Amino acid sequence: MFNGGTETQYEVLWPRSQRQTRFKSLAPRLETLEGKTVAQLWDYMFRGDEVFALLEEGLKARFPGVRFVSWREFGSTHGANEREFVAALPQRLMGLGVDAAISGMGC
Amino acid sequence: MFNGGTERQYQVFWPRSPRQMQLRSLAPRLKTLEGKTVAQLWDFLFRGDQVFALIEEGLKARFPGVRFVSWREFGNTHGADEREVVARLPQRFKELGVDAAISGMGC
Amino acid sequence: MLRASAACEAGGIPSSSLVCEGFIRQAATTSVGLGMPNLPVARVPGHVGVQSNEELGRNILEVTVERVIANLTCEPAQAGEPLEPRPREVVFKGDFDAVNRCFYENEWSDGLPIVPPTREKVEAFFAFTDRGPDEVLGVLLPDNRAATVWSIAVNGVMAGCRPEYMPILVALIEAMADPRYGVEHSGNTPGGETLIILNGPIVKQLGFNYTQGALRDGFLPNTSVGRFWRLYLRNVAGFLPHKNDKATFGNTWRVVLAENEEALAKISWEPNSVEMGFNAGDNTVTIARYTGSSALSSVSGSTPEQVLPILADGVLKQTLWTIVFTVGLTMGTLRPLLVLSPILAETIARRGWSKADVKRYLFEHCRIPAWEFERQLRDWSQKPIWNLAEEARLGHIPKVFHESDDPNRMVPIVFKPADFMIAVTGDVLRHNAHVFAHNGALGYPVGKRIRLPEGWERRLAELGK
Repeated sequence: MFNGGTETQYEVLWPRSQRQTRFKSLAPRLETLEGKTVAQLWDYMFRGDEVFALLEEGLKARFPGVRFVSWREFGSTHGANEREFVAALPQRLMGLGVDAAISGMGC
Repeated sequence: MFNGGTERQYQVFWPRSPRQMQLRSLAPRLKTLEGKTVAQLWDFLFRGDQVFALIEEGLKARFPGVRFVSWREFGNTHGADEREVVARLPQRFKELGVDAAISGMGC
Repeated sequence: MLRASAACEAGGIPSSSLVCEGFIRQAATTSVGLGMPNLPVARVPGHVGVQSNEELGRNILEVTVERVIANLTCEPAQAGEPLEPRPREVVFKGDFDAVNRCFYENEWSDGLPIVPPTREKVEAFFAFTDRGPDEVLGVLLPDNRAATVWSIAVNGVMAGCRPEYMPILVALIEAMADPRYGVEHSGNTPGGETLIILNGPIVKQLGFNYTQGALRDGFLPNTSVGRFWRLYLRNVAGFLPHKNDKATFGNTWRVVLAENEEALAKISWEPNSVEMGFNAGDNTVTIARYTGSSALSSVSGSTPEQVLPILADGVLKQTLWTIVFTVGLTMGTLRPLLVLSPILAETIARRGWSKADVKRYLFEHCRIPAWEFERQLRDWSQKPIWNLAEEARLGHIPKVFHESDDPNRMVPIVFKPADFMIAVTGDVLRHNAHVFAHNGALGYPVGKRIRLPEGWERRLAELGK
């Protein structure tokens, strides 16, 4: 606790509030993308369609056997139903045999 | 000066600043408008042209000998050159023999 | 976008998040709130919005691809949890200047001096609510913090609110926590700011300004409650510039807009609270985010037929790119707000026009050519394909958007007349209006009833109100 100043002393309270989520571990990373299925998750903004096409090209050059599930399969991750969409996502990804996901665009 | 409260007392300063204008008297009023010359000063807003025409009609009904100097004579009292227009008024009133002025529109 | 990534990780799917260079810091801060501070991001150099196709190609292939591979195949470093105070802990002791310095350095203030939130001052707010201090009204993103009644009182003190404003403050945070509002979008780049509309007898009871200067600071209730909103967004929701708040420019917080219910009653128009689903006479708050607003000065005419074209033109001109909330980014969530001065509302109402009539007029006349609507969507989204015909065929949008294939056909800017919102306040004798550009689903209108504590009238009387 800090102290400072020479006039009337105010003991003041914290204006914030506790976080309601503990830190969580990330999913384990993959050894390689070769032979893996990668989902494309797009918020329908900022040229994500072009970016994902370029990423496909670049990743296939490195990992010829990588497969993609297009963003078209999922719809926008940032629409009016975003909360429901995100909640249902893990199940959908499992159903499609997805091993990893690329999510964009944070711009 | 106000005093109040039970915590530490602050002796504080006035946040404003003295006016730079002394109070001034208005010009003497006229005994009548009959035979007088009245200037119309208009800020070119809020249907002043219609209002001044109606005032002319109303005043002429009461004072048949009243004369008017049209707002067209003076220019816009609220235009880009407002300061110059207003500064010129006393001289112009002398030249035009104006006895009183009606200024509008405050809307 | 990061919320989707976090869901993937929680489901056991490793993710890579594509983030434009200027948003890396925001991504880092948002990730903390999601409980995954080490969520891997793949940098997209510069901003895609101003790059040629060749530049975009080079950036993605030469920079981003490698980062995506690393994100998905290399274990990120573990992150430790930062230490934070306990909810009701005294965090500092000092004089007025020292308290303010501490709060500013910790990003707990808005840059203006705050009223030191001492225990005595905070506890005084609990005389005006029956809610317990530890009651949680919701969990606010992006920081994932509990919106406790205690934290409302602390920020209320800081903002300069009086204790008797507490029922309004509580209702506001209930609204902020309502998922329909979308508080998590409050750091987006358009930098919109919330407008709070206040209704009910509480307007006069607490001395809110609801006439001339309705949006001007200088009236303690309107001003301090408006300031409270922004402080709470900063301190509990977690929106800080250069971190989670990515407003390119931003707006400063707005004072509370109190509706003039006397004026509305005189012309038999329902207040905004009724539009939001409450009863006339209820004390309510309504919140929504707006990216900007414009004054329509001197809306002249003595009949609805003379003034409504001017109003419709103003609403249309203020709408701009936000039509993407009608078709595109979201469907049908645009709710433009038109605020009328009482004399203007009377001019319309005295000829027998209701609010619904005005909304129908706006729906019919706030229209743009279909080709312009589609061009706006394409220019904004930089997507080559936007087709109102296809969206109508798929049932995503009402048929009114595609009544023919004529590209010059006039299409509305909202789905239906009721999407327009109308409020009445401001200088009672000045024929001005004010138009607000709505941020769609990213700040959707939400209303809450203000719950008054037992003995409210008595408590107010004790204050001399």
